[in-house]
Amino acid sequence: MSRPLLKCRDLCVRFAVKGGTVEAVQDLSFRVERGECVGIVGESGSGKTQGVLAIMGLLPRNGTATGSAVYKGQELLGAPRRSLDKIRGESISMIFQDAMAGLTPFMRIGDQLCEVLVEHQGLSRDDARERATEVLRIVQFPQPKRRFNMYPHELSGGMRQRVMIALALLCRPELIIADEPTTALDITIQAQILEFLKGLRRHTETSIIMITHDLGVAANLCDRIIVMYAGRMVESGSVYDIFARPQHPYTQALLRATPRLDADPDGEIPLLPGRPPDLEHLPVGCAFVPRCPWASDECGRRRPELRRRFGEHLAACFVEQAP
Amino acid sequence: MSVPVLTVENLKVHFAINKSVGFLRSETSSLRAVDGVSFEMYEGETLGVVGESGCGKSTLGRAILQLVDKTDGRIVWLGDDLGELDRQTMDQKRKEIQIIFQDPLSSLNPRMTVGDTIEQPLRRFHPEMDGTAREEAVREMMRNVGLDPNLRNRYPHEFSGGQCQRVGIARAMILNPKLVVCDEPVSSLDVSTQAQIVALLRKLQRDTGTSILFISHDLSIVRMMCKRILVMYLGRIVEVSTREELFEDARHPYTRALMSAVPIPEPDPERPPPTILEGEVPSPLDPPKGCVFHTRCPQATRWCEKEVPPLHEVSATHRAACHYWNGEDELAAESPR
Repeated sequence: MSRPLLKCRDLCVRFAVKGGTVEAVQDLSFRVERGECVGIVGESGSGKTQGVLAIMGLLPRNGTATGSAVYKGQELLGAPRRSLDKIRGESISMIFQDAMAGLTPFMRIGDQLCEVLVEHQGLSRDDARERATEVLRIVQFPQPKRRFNMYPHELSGGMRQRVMIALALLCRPELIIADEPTTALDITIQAQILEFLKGLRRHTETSIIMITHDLGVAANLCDRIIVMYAGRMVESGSVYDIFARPQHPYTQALLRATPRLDADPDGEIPLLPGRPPDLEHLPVGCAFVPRCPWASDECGRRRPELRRRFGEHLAACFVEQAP
Repeated sequence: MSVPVLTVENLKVHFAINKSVGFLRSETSSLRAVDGVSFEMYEGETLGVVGESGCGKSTLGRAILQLVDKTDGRIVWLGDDLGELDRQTMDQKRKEIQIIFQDPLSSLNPRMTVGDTIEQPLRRFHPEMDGTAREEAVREMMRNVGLDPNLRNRYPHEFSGGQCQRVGIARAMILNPKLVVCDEPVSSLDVSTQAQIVALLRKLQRDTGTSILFISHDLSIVRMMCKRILVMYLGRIVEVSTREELFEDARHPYTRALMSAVPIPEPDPERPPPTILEGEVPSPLDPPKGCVFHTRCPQATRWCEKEVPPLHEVSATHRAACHYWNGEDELAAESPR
């Protein structure tokens, strides 16, 4: 394998809050190869979104990021605003969950799309308009010409999400970071957008970081999966290994708790009792201890480091062999 | 399963929408949120209502509770037409019919302790109970929904989403209702919390024998909760059936597409792509003529554009509103669109 497109090492994200700090992400290290789709899964508060916001330099004011995030040889953390803008506009783009928040409410969608092209690619207004219409067609936006001058609020949720994806694709980025892009959408619209992203992966070399809480979405789109819990990566591996032989008890519990259409509908619902720890008061040992079926005294005293299990598969658990 | 507890007959809920069409001029059109829905519910039954946003499933739930006014049709609860009752009698009926909302936090009063929130229905409907009896009932209810009774003086903002939803459930269940309308009760929760709440609702249903109208967009959740399922699209029922028949033998193309769109949590490069429905749900302000689904249906013909398909009887427990409910033969005979 050649040099990865993106390489994060020991990424930490802290937020200053009243009366202390919240460690939203700790020691996150991962890489994204060219053409690869990496899924980051976890429940709310697991740090999956804050991690990528830090990489993109989009943390809110009270947040600080340490560690390193190297994109094509260039360090992103602490990079000057100008070079970040250039990378964000031309090479990495982001799709947010809430398309209404990702679009400017008082600008016509056509203008928003053209602005990017004029700004970053130096196209003329007319060329920009043509290219924007073309990209809207690619993302299967219905009747792009007729809707070019509409405002975001005049569109349905699915159409707005398509405009966001079009915005993300405009400059032919090498990396797309998608943060729960289909969570707010109806299931038939989600299916359309997932198929589109799959097609994009087949036809281009675009890499994708897919942040999702939905293991079904991850299973269908990603090559590799990172599972996060309470701000830390607890497991990572190929999509097949994560689903076929998960090593961390949290991953296993998450998989069991995910409803599936082929499970016995009247069977006992496998429960993961309790809830994630308060990030302001993380325990000394493994953060999963209170919910873990295998926890021993050692787990409470010491935090297990990520260890290689087989191949490239990592898991942070003292228990060697999943019972 | 003999006499239905709830009968909904040809229910229509239309909302008047004013749209300005020029200086000081406006046009009123009607949004058909629910457009001719009929079904029955039996004692102790958990009936699922599935559909995507705008299909009218929430409006249906609210109409049953008389939280929105119906335009036409009847809602008969244990022999009483709820629409005909005067306000006072209807208020008494609310004791029997309760609702659990989607957003657990915003449906609780932020200035009320959770214990008071759960107690409130008892104060309202059981004036004969004294403070000690109410307190005992609240504590027992909290235990039943998996909340520590010692948290009764906490406020909703101190609780997680899952805990807030447990409070909402406790508030609905404390009156021992005969019917609980659950409007997307787990949609805003994380996967592990979702499973906990579904398990709790199943347990409460088993223990109390209450009927549940379970409204959700998520087929995999509905499947775990309900023995009978109703599929809605654009204000109408397109298919209604027992769970087994629906999942093994769905007759409406919309139901099939909905099932196929649920992503399977198992990687498989060989898996054929799901049935992708083109376009989006049309506006309920101007629903398509004929079958409301024909604009997105992969098998629609001219017949579908002209004529509304009735709910055909597939079996005694299964009906589907598709002209081609009985398979491909007839489809071949018709000229395609």
